[in-house]
Amino acid sequence: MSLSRRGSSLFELLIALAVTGMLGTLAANILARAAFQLRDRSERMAAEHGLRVAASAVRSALESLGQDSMSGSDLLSNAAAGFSARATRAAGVACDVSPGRFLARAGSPWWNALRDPVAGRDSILAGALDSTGWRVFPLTAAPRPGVCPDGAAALELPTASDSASMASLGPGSPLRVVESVELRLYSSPPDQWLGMRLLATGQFIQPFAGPLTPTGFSLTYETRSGQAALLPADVASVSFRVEALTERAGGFGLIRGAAPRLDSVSGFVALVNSR
Amino acid sequence: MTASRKVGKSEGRKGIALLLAVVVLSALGVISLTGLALARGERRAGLTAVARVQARAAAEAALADALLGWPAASTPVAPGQELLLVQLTVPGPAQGLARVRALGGPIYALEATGERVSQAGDLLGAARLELLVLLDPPDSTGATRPRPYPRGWRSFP
Repeated sequence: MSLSRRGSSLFELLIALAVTGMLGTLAANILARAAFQLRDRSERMAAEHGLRVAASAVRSALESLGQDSMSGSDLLSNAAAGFSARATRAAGVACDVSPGRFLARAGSPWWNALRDPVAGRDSILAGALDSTGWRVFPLTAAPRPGVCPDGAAALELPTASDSASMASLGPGSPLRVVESVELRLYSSPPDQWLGMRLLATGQFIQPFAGPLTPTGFSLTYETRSGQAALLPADVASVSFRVEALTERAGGFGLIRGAAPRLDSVSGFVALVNSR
Repeated sequence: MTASRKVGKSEGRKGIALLLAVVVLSALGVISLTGLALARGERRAGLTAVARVQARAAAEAALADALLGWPAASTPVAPGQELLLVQLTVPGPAQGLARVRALGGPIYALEATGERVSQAGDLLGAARLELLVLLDPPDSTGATRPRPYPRGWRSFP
Protein backbone atom coordinates (compact mmCIF):
# COMPACT_ATOMS: atom_id res chain seq x y z
CA MET A 1 0.00 0.00 0.00
CA SER A 2 2.79 2.30 0.95
CA LEU A 3 4.88 1.40 -2.20
CA SER A 4 1.87 1.86 -4.38
CA ARG A 5 1.29 5.30 -2.93
CA ARG A 6 4.92 6.35 -3.49
CA GLY A 7 4.80 5.24 -7.15
CA SER A 8 1.60 6.98 -7.70
CA SER A 9 2.95 10.20 -6.14
CA LEU A 10 6.04 10.18 -8.36
CA PHE A 11 3.97 9.50 -11.44
CA GLU A 12 1.53 12.17 -10.46
CA LEU A 13 4.35 14.60 -9.82
CA LEU A 14 5.91 13.96 -13.24
CA ILE A 15 2.55 14.32 -14.96
CA ALA A 16 1.82 17.47 -12.99
CA LEU A 17 5.24 18.92 -13.84
CA ALA A 18 4.79 18.07 -17.52
CA VAL A 19 1.31 19.55 -17.65
CA THR A 20 2.43 22.62 -15.72
CA GLY A 21 5.36 23.04 -18.09
CA MET A 22 3.10 22.74 -21.12
CA LEU A 23 0.57 25.14 -19.63
CA GLY A 24 3.34 27.57 -18.68
CA THR A 25 4.82 27.48 -22.17
CA LEU A 26 1.39 27.95 -23.68
CA ALA A 27 0.57 30.82 -21.32
CA ALA A 28 3.94 32.48 -21.97
CA ASN A 29 3.36 32.15 -25.69
CA ILE A 30 -0.09 33.64 -25.47
CA LEU A 31 1.10 36.46 -23.24
CA ALA A 32 4.07 37.22 -25.48
CA ARG A 33 1.85 37.32 -28.57
CA ALA A 34 -0.68 39.51 -26.79
CA ALA A 35 2.08 41.81 -25.56
CA PHE A 36 3.53 41.98 -29.06
CA GLN A 37 0.17 42.83 -30.58
CA LEU A 38 -0.47 45.43 -27.90
CA ARG A 39 2.91 47.04 -28.36
CA ASP A 40 2.62 46.84 -32.13
CA ARG A 41 -0.80 48.49 -31.98
CA SER A 42 0.45 51.19 -29.59
CA GLU A 43 3.41 51.98 -31.82
CA ARG A 44 1.23 52.10 -34.91
CA MET A 45 -1.12 54.47 -33.11
CA ALA A 46 1.83 56.63 -32.08
CA ALA A 47 3.05 56.68 -35.69
CA GLU A 48 -0.44 57.56 -36.93
CA HIS A 49 -0.65 60.33 -34.33
CA GLY A 50 2.73 61.64 -35.51
CA LEU A 51 1.44 61.65 -39.08
CA ARG A 52 -1.67 63.57 -38.05
CA VAL A 53 0.45 66.13 -36.20
CA ALA A 54 2.81 66.48 -39.17
CA ALA A 55 -0.01 66.88 -41.70
CA SER A 56 -1.82 69.37 -39.48
CA ALA A 57 1.34 71.43 -38.91
CA VAL A 58 2.21 71.52 -42.61
CA ARG A 59 -1.33 72.48 -43.53
CA SER A 60 -1.62 75.25 -40.93
CA ALA A 61 1.85 76.60 -41.81
CA LEU A 62 1.10 76.78 -45.53
CA GLU A 63 -2.64 77.37 -45.89
CA SER A 64 -2.82 81.09 -45.10
CA LEU A 65 0.40 82.14 -46.86
CA GLY A 66 -0.03 84.96 -49.30
CA GLN A 67 1.84 87.69 -51.08
CA ASP A 68 1.56 91.20 -52.43
CA SER A 69 3.76 93.62 -54.29
CA MET A 70 4.77 95.59 -51.17
CA SER A 71 5.62 92.96 -48.56
CA GLY A 72 6.55 90.15 -50.96
CA SER A 73 5.72 86.50 -50.46
CA ASP A 74 5.06 84.88 -47.08
CA LEU A 75 6.74 81.75 -48.41
CA LEU A 76 10.43 82.61 -48.06
CA SER A 77 12.00 79.44 -49.49
CA ASN A 78 10.68 76.25 -51.06
CA ALA A 79 12.89 73.16 -50.99
CA ALA A 80 12.04 69.52 -51.65
CA ALA A 81 12.32 68.51 -47.98
CA GLY A 82 11.33 71.72 -46.21
CA PHE A 83 10.35 75.35 -46.45
CA SER A 84 10.57 78.61 -44.54
CA ALA A 85 7.73 81.07 -44.22
CA ARG A 86 6.16 83.84 -42.21
CA ALA A 87 3.94 82.42 -39.49
CA THR A 88 1.20 84.55 -37.94
CA ARG A 89 1.37 84.70 -34.15
CA ALA A 90 -1.19 87.42 -33.50
CA ALA A 91 -3.68 89.53 -35.43
CA GLY A 92 -5.65 92.66 -34.72
CA VAL A 93 -6.90 95.97 -36.02
CA ALA A 94 -5.28 99.40 -35.62
CA CYS A 95 -7.28 102.14 -33.92
CA ASP A 96 -4.51 104.69 -34.36
CA VAL A 97 -1.28 104.91 -36.34
CA SER A 98 1.56 107.38 -35.85
CA PRO A 99 5.31 107.38 -36.56
CA GLY A 100 7.00 104.94 -34.18
CA ARG A 101 3.97 102.99 -33.03
CA PHE A 102 0.72 101.23 -33.78
CA LEU A 103 -2.22 101.18 -31.41
CA ALA A 104 -4.13 97.92 -31.80
CA ARG A 105 -7.57 97.40 -30.29
CA ALA A 106 -7.25 95.05 -27.33
CA GLY A 107 -9.53 92.29 -26.14
CA SER A 108 -11.98 90.00 -27.91
CA PRO A 109 -12.88 89.95 -30.77
CA TRP A 110 -10.21 92.41 -31.87
CA TRP A 111 -6.94 90.88 -30.72
CA ASN A 112 -6.28 87.19 -31.38
CA ALA A 113 -2.89 85.90 -30.32
CA LEU A 114 -1.16 82.55 -29.97
CA ARG A 115 1.37 84.29 -27.72
CA ASP A 116 2.57 87.75 -26.75
CA PRO A 117 4.63 89.59 -29.40
CA VAL A 118 8.39 89.55 -28.79
CA ALA A 119 10.65 92.41 -29.87
CA GLY A 120 13.48 91.42 -32.19
CA ARG A 121 11.80 88.15 -33.03
CA ASP A 122 8.51 89.33 -34.51
CA SER A 123 7.60 91.73 -37.28
CA ILE A 124 4.37 93.60 -37.94
CA LEU A 125 2.44 93.44 -41.18
CA ALA A 126 0.07 96.39 -41.56
CA GLY A 127 -2.61 96.51 -44.24
CA ALA A 128 -2.95 99.67 -46.31
CA LEU A 129 -6.40 101.21 -46.49
CA ASP A 130 -6.18 101.85 -50.23
CA SER A 131 -5.92 98.08 -50.98
CA THR A 132 -2.37 98.24 -52.34
CA GLY A 133 -1.24 95.59 -49.87
CA TRP A 134 0.69 95.18 -46.65
CA ARG A 135 3.79 96.85 -45.26
CA VAL A 136 6.39 95.25 -43.02
CA PHE A 137 7.69 96.89 -39.84
CA PRO A 138 9.99 95.59 -37.11
CA LEU A 139 8.67 95.28 -33.58
CA THR A 140 11.29 97.29 -31.70
CA ALA A 141 10.15 96.92 -28.09
CA ALA A 142 7.77 94.91 -25.95
CA PRO A 143 4.09 95.84 -26.39
CA ARG A 144 2.51 97.90 -23.64
CA PRO A 145 -1.04 98.88 -22.73
CA GLY A 146 -2.51 101.96 -24.38
CA VAL A 147 -5.79 103.73 -25.09
CA CYS A 148 -7.48 104.23 -28.46
CA PRO A 149 -8.63 107.76 -29.43
CA ASP A 150 -12.22 106.62 -28.80
CA GLY A 151 -11.28 105.55 -25.25
CA ALA A 152 -11.21 101.80 -25.87
CA ALA A 153 -8.41 99.64 -24.48
CA ALA A 154 -5.44 99.21 -26.81
CA LEU A 155 -2.11 97.49 -27.16
CA GLU A 156 0.76 99.74 -28.20
CA LEU A 157 3.16 98.10 -30.64
CA PRO A 158 6.41 100.13 -30.88
CA THR A 159 8.05 100.09 -34.28
CA ALA A 160 10.63 101.91 -36.40
CA SER A 161 8.70 103.93 -38.95
CA ASP A 162 8.33 107.44 -40.27
CA SER A 163 5.34 109.31 -41.64
CA ALA A 164 6.18 108.34 -45.23
CA SER A 165 6.17 104.64 -44.48
CA MET A 166 2.92 105.08 -42.51
CA ALA A 167 1.15 106.68 -45.47
CA SER A 168 -2.09 104.91 -46.38
CA LEU A 169 -2.20 103.25 -42.96
CA GLY A 170 -4.70 104.39 -40.36
CA PRO A 171 -7.60 103.45 -38.09
CA GLY A 172 -9.08 100.20 -39.38
CA SER A 173 -5.81 98.90 -40.83
CA PRO A 174 -5.49 95.16 -40.19
CA LEU A 175 -2.35 94.15 -38.29
CA ARG A 176 -0.51 90.82 -38.17
CA VAL A 177 2.36 89.89 -35.90
CA VAL A 178 4.54 87.41 -37.76
CA GLU A 179 7.79 85.53 -37.32
CA SER A 180 9.89 83.56 -39.79
CA VAL A 181 10.04 79.81 -39.21
CA GLU A 182 11.63 76.90 -41.00
CA LEU A 183 9.97 73.50 -41.20
CA ARG A 184 12.02 70.64 -42.63
CA LEU A 185 13.21 67.06 -42.40
CA TYR A 186 16.37 66.72 -40.34
CA SER A 187 18.59 63.90 -39.19
CA SER A 188 19.16 62.96 -35.56
CA PRO A 189 20.96 59.62 -35.96
CA PRO A 190 19.73 56.98 -36.26
CA ASP A 191 16.37 58.60 -37.00
CA GLN A 192 14.94 61.31 -39.23
CA TRP A 193 12.47 63.79 -37.78
CA LEU A 194 10.22 66.58 -38.92
CA GLY A 195 11.32 69.69 -37.08
CA MET A 196 10.74 73.42 -36.85
CA ARG A 197 12.97 76.31 -35.84
CA LEU A 198 12.73 80.08 -35.53
CA LEU A 199 14.91 81.88 -38.05
CA ALA A 200 15.17 85.15 -36.11
CA THR A 201 16.65 83.61 -32.97
CA GLY A 202 18.91 81.05 -34.67
CA GLN A 203 17.62 78.34 -32.35
CA PHE A 204 18.34 74.67 -32.95
CA ILE A 205 15.67 72.79 -34.81
CA GLN A 206 13.09 71.13 -32.57
CA PRO A 207 11.48 67.80 -33.52
CA PHE A 208 7.72 67.48 -33.42
CA ALA A 209 6.91 64.40 -35.53
CA GLY A 210 8.73 61.17 -36.27
CA PRO A 211 10.67 59.02 -36.59
CA LEU A 212 10.44 59.22 -40.37
CA THR A 213 12.10 57.35 -43.22
CA PRO A 214 15.27 58.92 -44.73
CA THR A 215 13.08 60.49 -47.42
CA GLY A 216 10.11 60.79 -45.09
CA PHE A 217 9.10 64.36 -45.88
CA SER A 218 8.76 65.57 -49.43
CA LEU A 219 7.08 68.60 -50.98
CA THR A 220 6.19 69.58 -54.53
CA TYR A 221 5.17 73.13 -55.38
CA GLU A 222 2.82 74.15 -58.17
CA THR A 223 1.76 77.37 -59.82
CA ARG A 224 -1.85 78.33 -60.45
CA SER A 225 -1.64 76.66 -63.84
CA GLY A 226 -0.38 73.39 -62.36
CA GLN A 227 3.23 73.79 -63.47
CA ALA A 228 6.19 73.20 -61.17
CA ALA A 229 6.85 76.41 -59.22
CA LEU A 230 10.53 77.32 -58.89
CA LEU A 231 10.23 80.59 -56.98
CA PRO A 232 8.36 81.07 -53.68
CA ALA A 233 6.29 83.90 -55.18
CA ASP A 234 4.97 81.56 -57.88
CA VAL A 235 3.68 78.90 -55.49
CA ALA A 236 -0.10 78.56 -55.40
CA SER A 237 -0.42 75.02 -54.03
CA VAL A 238 1.75 72.44 -52.30
CA SER A 239 1.54 68.65 -52.27
CA PHE A 240 3.30 66.87 -49.43
CA ARG A 241 3.99 63.34 -48.25
CA VAL A 242 5.11 62.17 -44.82
CA GLU A 243 6.36 58.61 -44.17
CA ALA A 244 6.54 57.57 -40.53
CA LEU A 245 8.17 54.53 -38.93
CA THR A 246 7.18 52.75 -35.75
CA GLU A 247 9.83 52.69 -33.05
CA ARG A 248 11.46 49.33 -32.30
CA ALA A 249 13.99 50.15 -29.63
CA GLY A 250 14.31 47.48 -26.91
CA GLY A 251 11.67 44.81 -26.66
CA PHE A 252 11.85 41.39 -25.09
CA GLY A 253 11.18 37.77 -25.97
CA LEU A 254 9.35 37.34 -29.23
CA ILE A 255 9.11 41.15 -29.67
CA ARG A 256 12.86 41.66 -29.96
CA GLY A 257 14.01 42.17 -33.51
CA ALA A 258 10.61 42.81 -35.06
CA ALA A 259 10.89 45.03 -38.13
CA PRO A 260 9.49 48.58 -37.93
CA ARG A 261 6.27 49.25 -39.77
CA LEU A 262 5.81 52.02 -42.30
CA ASP A 263 2.81 54.31 -42.58
CA SER A 264 2.32 57.49 -44.58
CA VAL A 265 0.04 60.43 -45.23
CA SER A 266 -0.24 62.62 -48.31
CA GLY A 267 -1.91 65.98 -48.59
CA PHE A 268 -2.60 68.92 -50.85
CA VAL A 269 -2.69 72.49 -49.59
CA ALA A 270 -4.00 75.39 -51.65
CA LEU A 271 -2.45 78.65 -50.50
CA VAL A 272 -5.73 80.50 -50.06
CA ASN A 273 -4.25 83.98 -50.04
CA SER A 274 -2.21 83.36 -53.20
CA ARG A 275 -5.28 83.04 -55.40
CA MET B 1 -1.75 10.03 8.78
CA THR B 2 -3.47 9.23 5.55
CA ALA B 3 -5.87 12.03 6.18
CA SER B 4 -3.11 14.53 6.90
CA ARG B 5 -1.19 13.59 3.67
CA LYS B 6 -4.34 14.05 1.59
CA VAL B 7 -4.89 17.46 3.10
CA GLY B 8 -1.26 18.42 2.36
CA LYS B 9 -1.45 17.36 -1.31
CA SER B 10 -4.73 19.13 -1.74
CA GLU B 11 -3.39 22.38 -0.31
CA GLY B 12 -0.33 22.29 -2.58
CA ARG B 13 -2.36 21.77 -5.72
CA LYS B 14 -4.79 24.53 -4.84
CA GLY B 15 -1.94 27.01 -4.27
CA ILE B 16 -0.28 26.42 -7.65
CA ALA B 17 -3.51 26.48 -9.65
CA LEU B 18 -4.79 29.59 -7.92
CA LEU B 19 -1.52 31.47 -8.33
CA LEU B 20 -1.27 30.51 -12.01
CA ALA B 21 -4.89 31.41 -12.66
CA VAL B 22 -4.61 34.76 -10.89
CA VAL B 23 -1.41 35.71 -12.75
CA VAL B 24 -2.74 34.70 -16.17
CA LEU B 25 -6.15 36.27 -15.64
CA SER B 26 -4.61 39.48 -14.31
CA ALA B 27 -2.27 39.77 -17.29
CA LEU B 28 -5.07 39.04 -19.77
CA GLY B 29 -7.30 41.54 -17.96
CA VAL B 30 -4.71 44.29 -18.13
CA ILE B 31 -4.06 43.61 -21.80
CA SER B 32 -7.78 43.58 -22.61
CA LEU B 33 -8.47 46.82 -20.74
CA THR B 34 -5.49 48.55 -22.34
CA GLY B 35 -6.60 47.40 -25.78
CA LEU B 36 -10.12 48.62 -25.08
CA ALA B 37 -8.86 52.01 -23.92
CA LEU B 38 -6.65 52.37 -27.00
CA ALA B 39 -9.53 51.44 -29.31
CA ARG B 40 -11.85 53.95 -27.62
CA GLY B 41 -9.22 56.66 -27.86
CA GLU B 42 -8.70 55.96 -31.55
CA ARG B 43 -12.46 56.04 -32.19
CA ARG B 44 -12.79 59.34 -30.36
CA ALA B 45 -9.92 60.83 -32.35
CA GLY B 46 -11.58 59.73 -35.58
CA LEU B 47 -14.96 61.20 -34.62
CA THR B 48 -13.33 64.49 -33.59
CA ALA B 49 -11.48 64.71 -36.92
CA VAL B 50 -14.71 64.13 -38.87
CA ALA B 51 -16.59 66.68 -36.70
CA ARG B 52 -13.89 69.30 -37.35
CA VAL B 53 -14.12 68.75 -41.10
CA GLN B 54 -17.91 69.10 -40.96
CA ALA B 55 -17.61 72.29 -38.89
CA ARG B 56 -15.06 73.70 -41.33
CA ALA B 57 -17.36 72.84 -44.25
CA ALA B 58 -20.21 74.71 -42.54
CA ALA B 59 -18.01 77.77 -41.97
CA GLU B 60 -16.77 77.77 -45.57
CA ALA B 61 -20.30 77.41 -46.91
CA ALA B 62 -21.46 80.35 -44.78
CA LEU B 63 -18.48 82.45 -45.94
CA ALA B 64 -19.20 81.61 -49.59
CA ASP B 65 -22.83 82.71 -49.13
CA ALA B 66 -21.74 85.94 -47.45
CA LEU B 67 -19.56 86.80 -50.44
CA LEU B 68 -22.72 87.08 -52.54
CA GLY B 69 -23.39 90.43 -50.89
CA TRP B 70 -26.01 92.17 -48.75
CA PRO B 71 -28.13 95.37 -48.77
CA ALA B 72 -25.69 98.27 -48.65
CA ALA B 73 -27.95 100.26 -46.33
CA SER B 74 -27.51 97.71 -43.54
CA THR B 75 -23.71 97.69 -43.68
CA PRO B 76 -22.30 98.33 -40.16
CA VAL B 77 -20.28 101.52 -39.73
CA ALA B 78 -19.01 101.92 -36.15
CA PRO B 79 -15.91 99.87 -35.22
CA GLY B 80 -17.02 96.53 -33.80
CA GLN B 81 -20.58 96.79 -35.12
CA GLU B 82 -21.72 93.54 -36.75
CA LEU B 83 -24.42 92.31 -39.12
CA LEU B 84 -25.49 88.67 -39.31
CA LEU B 85 -25.51 87.67 -42.97
CA VAL B 86 -25.89 83.90 -43.21
CA GLN B 87 -27.18 81.08 -41.05
CA LEU B 88 -27.20 77.60 -42.60
CA THR B 89 -26.97 73.88 -41.93
CA VAL B 90 -24.79 71.45 -43.87
CA PRO B 91 -24.81 67.62 -43.70
CA GLY B 92 -23.53 66.31 -40.40
CA PRO B 93 -25.48 68.26 -39.39
CA ALA B 94 -23.26 71.27 -38.71
CA GLN B 95 -24.37 74.86 -38.26
CA GLY B 96 -22.68 77.70 -40.13
CA LEU B 97 -22.86 81.43 -39.41
CA ALA B 98 -21.35 84.40 -41.22
CA ARG B 99 -21.35 88.02 -40.16
CA VAL B 100 -19.66 91.21 -41.31
CA ARG B 101 -17.85 93.44 -38.82
CA ALA B 102 -16.79 97.05 -39.31
CA LEU B 103 -13.13 97.64 -38.46
CA GLY B 104 -13.29 101.44 -38.52
CA GLY B 105 -12.12 102.04 -42.08
CA PRO B 106 -12.85 100.88 -45.62
CA ILE B 107 -11.75 97.32 -44.79
CA TYR B 108 -14.34 94.96 -43.27
CA ALA B 109 -14.04 91.51 -41.74
CA LEU B 110 -16.29 88.66 -42.82
CA GLU B 111 -16.23 86.17 -39.98
CA ALA B 112 -17.64 82.67 -40.42
CA THR B 113 -18.05 80.03 -37.75
CA GLY B 114 -19.04 76.38 -37.99
CA GLU B 115 -20.12 74.06 -35.20
CA ARG B 116 -20.87 70.36 -35.16
CA VAL B 117 -22.80 69.26 -32.11
CA SER B 118 -23.93 65.79 -31.02
CA GLN B 119 -27.58 64.79 -30.59
CA ALA B 120 -27.13 65.44 -26.88
CA GLY B 121 -26.00 68.98 -27.65
CA ASP B 122 -22.28 68.48 -26.91
CA LEU B 123 -19.84 70.38 -29.09
CA LEU B 124 -17.89 67.86 -31.20
CA GLY B 125 -15.98 70.23 -33.46
CA ALA B 126 -15.73 73.92 -34.30
CA ALA B 127 -14.08 76.09 -36.95
CA ARG B 128 -13.66 79.83 -37.36
CA LEU B 129 -12.58 81.66 -40.49
CA GLU B 130 -12.04 85.32 -41.33
CA LEU B 131 -11.82 87.09 -44.64
CA LEU B 132 -10.90 90.77 -44.91
CA VAL B 133 -12.85 92.48 -47.67
CA LEU B 134 -13.34 95.83 -49.36
CA LEU B 135 -16.86 96.81 -50.39
CA ASP B 136 -17.86 97.70 -53.92
CA PRO B 137 -20.33 100.57 -54.40
CA PRO B 138 -23.98 99.47 -54.28
CA ASP B 139 -25.38 98.08 -57.54
CA SER B 140 -28.73 98.99 -59.09
CA THR B 141 -30.58 96.81 -56.56
CA GLY B 142 -28.90 98.52 -53.61
CA ALA B 143 -26.74 95.50 -52.78
CA THR B 144 -23.05 95.75 -52.02
CA ARG B 145 -20.62 92.98 -52.88
CA PRO B 146 -17.45 92.31 -50.92
CA ARG B 147 -14.08 91.99 -52.66
CA PRO B 148 -11.32 89.96 -50.91
CA TYR B 149 -8.47 92.04 -49.51
CA PRO B 150 -4.96 90.77 -50.34
CA ARG B 151 -3.77 88.19 -47.80
CA GLY B 152 -7.11 88.64 -46.07
CA TRP B 153 -8.07 85.02 -45.39
CA ARG B 154 -7.10 83.29 -42.20
CA SER B 155 -8.20 80.36 -40.10
CA PHE B 156 -8.31 80.58 -36.32
CA PRO B 157 -6.58 77.76 -34.46
